[in-house]
Amino acid sequence: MSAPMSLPSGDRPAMLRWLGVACFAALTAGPVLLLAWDTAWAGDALAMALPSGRRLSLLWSSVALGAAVALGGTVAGMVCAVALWRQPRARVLRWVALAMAASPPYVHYLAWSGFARTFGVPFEGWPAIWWVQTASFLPFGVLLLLAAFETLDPGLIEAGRMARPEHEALLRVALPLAAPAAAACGGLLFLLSVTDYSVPALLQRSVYALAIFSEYSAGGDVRRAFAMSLPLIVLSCGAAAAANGMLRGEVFTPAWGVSPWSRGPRVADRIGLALLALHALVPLVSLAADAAGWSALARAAFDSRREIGLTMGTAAAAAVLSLGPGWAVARSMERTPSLLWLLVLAPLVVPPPVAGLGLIRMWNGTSAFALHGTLAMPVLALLARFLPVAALGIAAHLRRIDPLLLDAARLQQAPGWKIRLRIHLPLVLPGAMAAAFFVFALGAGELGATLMIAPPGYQTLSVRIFNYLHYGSSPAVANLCLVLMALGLAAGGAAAWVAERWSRIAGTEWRARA
Amino acid sequence: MPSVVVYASIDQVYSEPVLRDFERRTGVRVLPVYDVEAAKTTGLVNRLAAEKARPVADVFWNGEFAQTALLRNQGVLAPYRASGAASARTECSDPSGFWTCFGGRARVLLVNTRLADERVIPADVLRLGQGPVEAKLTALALPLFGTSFTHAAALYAALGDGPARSFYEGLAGSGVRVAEGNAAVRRLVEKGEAALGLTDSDDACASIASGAPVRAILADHGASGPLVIPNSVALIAGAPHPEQGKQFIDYLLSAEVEDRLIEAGWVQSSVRRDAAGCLGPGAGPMRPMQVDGAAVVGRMDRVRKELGGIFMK
Repeated sequence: MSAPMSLPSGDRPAMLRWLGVACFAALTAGPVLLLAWDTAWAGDALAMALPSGRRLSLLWSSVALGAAVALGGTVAGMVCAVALWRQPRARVLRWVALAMAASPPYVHYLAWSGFARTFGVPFEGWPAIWWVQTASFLPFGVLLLLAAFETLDPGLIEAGRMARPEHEALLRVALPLAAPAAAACGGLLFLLSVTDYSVPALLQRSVYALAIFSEYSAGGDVRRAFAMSLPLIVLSCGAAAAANGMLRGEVFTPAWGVSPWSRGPRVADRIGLALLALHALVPLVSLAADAAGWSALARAAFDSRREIGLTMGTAAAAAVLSLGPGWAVARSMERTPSLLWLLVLAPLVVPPPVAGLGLIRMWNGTSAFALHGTLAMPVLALLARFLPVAALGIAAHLRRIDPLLLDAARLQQAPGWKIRLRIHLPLVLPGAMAAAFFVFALGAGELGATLMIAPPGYQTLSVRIFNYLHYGSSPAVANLCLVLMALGLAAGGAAAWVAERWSRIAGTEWRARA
Repeated sequence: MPSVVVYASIDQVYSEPVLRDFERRTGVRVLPVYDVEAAKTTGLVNRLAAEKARPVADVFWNGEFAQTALLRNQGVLAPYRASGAASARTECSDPSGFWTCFGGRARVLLVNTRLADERVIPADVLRLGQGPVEAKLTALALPLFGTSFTHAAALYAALGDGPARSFYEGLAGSGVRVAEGNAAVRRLVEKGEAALGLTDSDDACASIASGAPVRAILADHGASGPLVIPNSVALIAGAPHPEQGKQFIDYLLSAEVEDRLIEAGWVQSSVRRDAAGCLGPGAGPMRPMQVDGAAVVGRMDRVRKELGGIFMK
């Protein structure tokens, strides 16, 4: 198996790619850099970058929580992904996993706290935070790991099965081969955990991300808030860059489309599939129990139609617009050191309210670019925050493209634009769809930056839900959460269907010709 | 259709009905921007300051007045004296008319009756953490923003800088539970994770109304009564719709709207009538502490710096 090859660049307009990189930089780093330009750095602000006392304690708590979520999510993700890989008939659960990715953490909080309350189980403190975050980020882990398993050479697995029992082939062949992907999964879940403060706030525990927010809320000093976020940026991006570095040395192939396992369910597979099913069913049932019936649900959906429209519209727009700059950065990073990913991923860790203020600074002028107060701002906020996710997702997919197909394309006598349109684009599209969906899922639940820039008269579902959540659960909140989950199911199902069709067209058809 | 943009740092459950009612009565379309509990008012305050060069908002309706005063200092507000203003509180309204105070919430001690007997708990805030409820079963919100911060600034103004700082240093050192906000304190007490909590009267009323095993005690300060923190409303300088903004301010300061906010449970102190009924019969007399608004505002920077050093290090 040859090493990953990149898409040919000889006849590709490099200027277009660099324009995409410039857009990425402007949209993600521009707002924060403008804020930094406006304020001079002072010694007391820089001192905030070196946590001590309570802040150091909070940082370690956050790191410990992040590590626990990364470990739990990766292990659970592994169990679920193996089950889906070995049981192709359970395909529908893939779509369920995809759909649950669009439910923000506070929806899981409401669902699981209600479930625990029903059975009289204590649900508080760090264990509850760990549980909610792990459940919330599990879909990302499952999808990443499943993609990794499906690219493993089935011949290796079959060879293992010939010499050893099936479970040993799994433990000693498949899992080690998927280890780099597991590390990447852990890095992503760690990053998502340490930057989330919604769940710890709801469960009355302080974490470093919340302390950054509190510091900023107390003083309104952007410099201090940004300096305070530097340790988190370094830790989170270091984890992501290290995981990405592990992936760089690996050999990738497209999905083989065949299962190397014998048919028939296994206990471990049943556990994995049950876990996946419960992951979706418990929130649905728990929220439905709190909701006040179908008519109230329909009423809630109708009353929230403006919020639904804004949420879905801005998330979808951001998802689509993220592809160009995300692809440009992914292509540009193919042969660069892992540490440069720190620059790409840093926007993920910038405190959302700081990002929001930077956006106001950038877009509230008197020129033609005075977009503040318009519906463009929520889209810009989502791009500022989640463009790195698109770049990461597309970069991961680019490694999976069959180099033989690229070689075959080079032999074509067709014009460059035709090759790009009819060969490169179909190959890249499934990964692009996945990246776009991740941006959509994260964007639908975004809170901090959106709050700062939402145009008057408009409000996202996440702001409404979060506001009502602080008064405890209620039928109104449960209804809104169900609406959000339903929209996520619809979006996830649509994305999965499109990606699967394109994969079949891109993979199967070309395999027949190659 | 004429419109008005209102930035409301009031819990959406209380403010939204008022905005919709104004819209219905006047035909002026209201375009609201709400804060979230987690942003603790400063979300919108910072947004208003950031938009100063090209304002988007017409009116700012705040659940306290200290942050409104900060906006005045930054040149974000324009003076306007409302006509009528039946519910206006003159003691904390800006003398130049840059903001008007009205209504009010009181600082209260919320007691979980399954864990503590409210009859033996001293109502004096200055004895918080000293018994009979253990410090580790006592909760208060981080006094760096919102009404908790305004309360701290009022204590600095009333007691003097040294005694107030000592009070908070004692609290921090005693092991009291510091929560992220007043709503968090309420939840801790409701769930029994804390026996006693210092919070706002609207949180206490909501807790009592929900049937939780709690009682409220108006938190006095030695010889002084409870601190009442009024709402404030202000016109934004350079507002896109100043006439509609003034119309909304007049409406908000009317007796009728204040009555609605009292019935809804947002306001528990009024210059016009008794409004603390939702706290229950044993809450104590509502004889508000006399506070010099200018002195409170003047101490805010110092209070923030000192309390940040006590609670955030």
